[in-house]
Amino acid sequence: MNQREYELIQAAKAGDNRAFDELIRSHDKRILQVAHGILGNMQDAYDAYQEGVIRAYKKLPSFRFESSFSTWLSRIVINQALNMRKKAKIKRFLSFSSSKDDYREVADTSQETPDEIVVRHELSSQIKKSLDLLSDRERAVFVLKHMHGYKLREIALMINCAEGTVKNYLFRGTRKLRADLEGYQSTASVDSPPIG
Amino acid sequence: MNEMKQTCNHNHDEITLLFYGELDDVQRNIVEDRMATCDSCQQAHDSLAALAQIVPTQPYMDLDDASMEAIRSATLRRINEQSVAPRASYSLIPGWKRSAQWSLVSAMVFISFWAGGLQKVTPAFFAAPALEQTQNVSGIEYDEQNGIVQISFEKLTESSVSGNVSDSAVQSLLGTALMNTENPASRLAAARILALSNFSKSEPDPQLLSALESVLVTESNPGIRLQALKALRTVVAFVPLNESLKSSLIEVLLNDSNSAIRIEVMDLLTENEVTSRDMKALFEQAQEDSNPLIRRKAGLLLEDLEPAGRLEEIR
Repeated sequence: MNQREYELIQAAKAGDNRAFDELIRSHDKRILQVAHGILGNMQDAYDAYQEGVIRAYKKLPSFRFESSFSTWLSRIVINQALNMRKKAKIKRFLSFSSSKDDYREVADTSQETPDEIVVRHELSSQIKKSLDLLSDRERAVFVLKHMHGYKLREIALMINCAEGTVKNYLFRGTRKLRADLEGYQSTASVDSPPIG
Repeated sequence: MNEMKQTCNHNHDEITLLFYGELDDVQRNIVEDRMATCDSCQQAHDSLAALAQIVPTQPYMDLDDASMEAIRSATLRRINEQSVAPRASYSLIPGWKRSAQWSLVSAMVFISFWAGGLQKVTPAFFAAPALEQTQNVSGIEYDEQNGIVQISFEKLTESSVSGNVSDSAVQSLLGTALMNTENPASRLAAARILALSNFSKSEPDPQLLSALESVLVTESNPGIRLQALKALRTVVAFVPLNESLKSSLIEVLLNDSNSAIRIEVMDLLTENEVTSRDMKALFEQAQEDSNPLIRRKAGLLLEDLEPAGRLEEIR
């Protein structure tokens, strides 16, 4: 942790909301991306992010510098995202998950032929289905490792479990994905599609 | 993908760790040596490489700076509300106890009913006072099966209104939320609900049409613009395209940076038979578009326009 971040945390702990805002700014886009990876749609990702950041604000006085601020904040937002997936009671009247994700739809297609657009959409939809086969924690670990490149020990801190358990989630997740996406290798020549 | 049955007794989990850079130098050398001599292990590694080719190794959601800033300020506003002034509960008459306020309300309802003045509560009744609060929309939910929209607000107390999406007041409220609410997720939800709505039972609210038109040219988020266009497609199936809207669509077709949006506009224009002489120049311009799909569609439309007979002025 650098000195500036340390000072911001101390100021935020003392009630300086601007310091908290500055502190969050350096992490928020990445955290929103992680939430989006776990939840698969923008609406829920935004909810998880906002609730998580507000929770972090409330819990900040108890932050004791035992981990980096980034890991601590990530853990709160990831927990929020995992809880959202778990809670069936959350009414999702407007189901984004059953349709194409908004950000995938607007990916710039200017360099693609119509055929490539169709292939990309089909592949993208298949990847989304395959990711849905993973358990919540398998998916979270896969997203954090495969897409964000975190070390397994960091992921263990973020999802609050042993590193060995994280490894097992990764092994199981990649096995399921490899099996389910078998046969799609030839279509991978189209640039990897954005997925939701 | 090269997902195949394991034909060796080696630990393939170590190959996953190798692939993701989780082995130290000694372990890595051991596993790499093994892969050099064991086809099954090599294929396990290739299978992971193929997975990485298909599933992006970068986060797949990106937000532009303006959207990110909007999300930050909405979050910070909620934090400020909570930390500076604890959320106050709404008080009908300041200083009165809650029980006294409830007694007064009950008495008023009873007197109204007795006097025959109690009217049916309509969505419009709920929507009217909410219009001014659209900047504070905190969430929009939609029961697609029953066509019921529920819009939640953050002001004084958490409150929400609900009504059928076919009600013009609800449509107007969604349109206003789409234009004014700061929360991009709520704007997106409003646009998506409108895109999913069925306007066959009642004509769309005129304000809604102008709200959608405004969003097309002023909204910074391409995802929301795209959903607004889809909403517009459902609306114009029931009301004719007016001149103002047509020129906004042309502006989007020629100038929007996002090709998915330009394609959507092209489809909207062609679906609505806006293929007349005054559109010929537009389609000729669209033939220069950077997107091949738009160029192809424009070419087909021009062919269609030529001698066959759709070459009339719009009257």
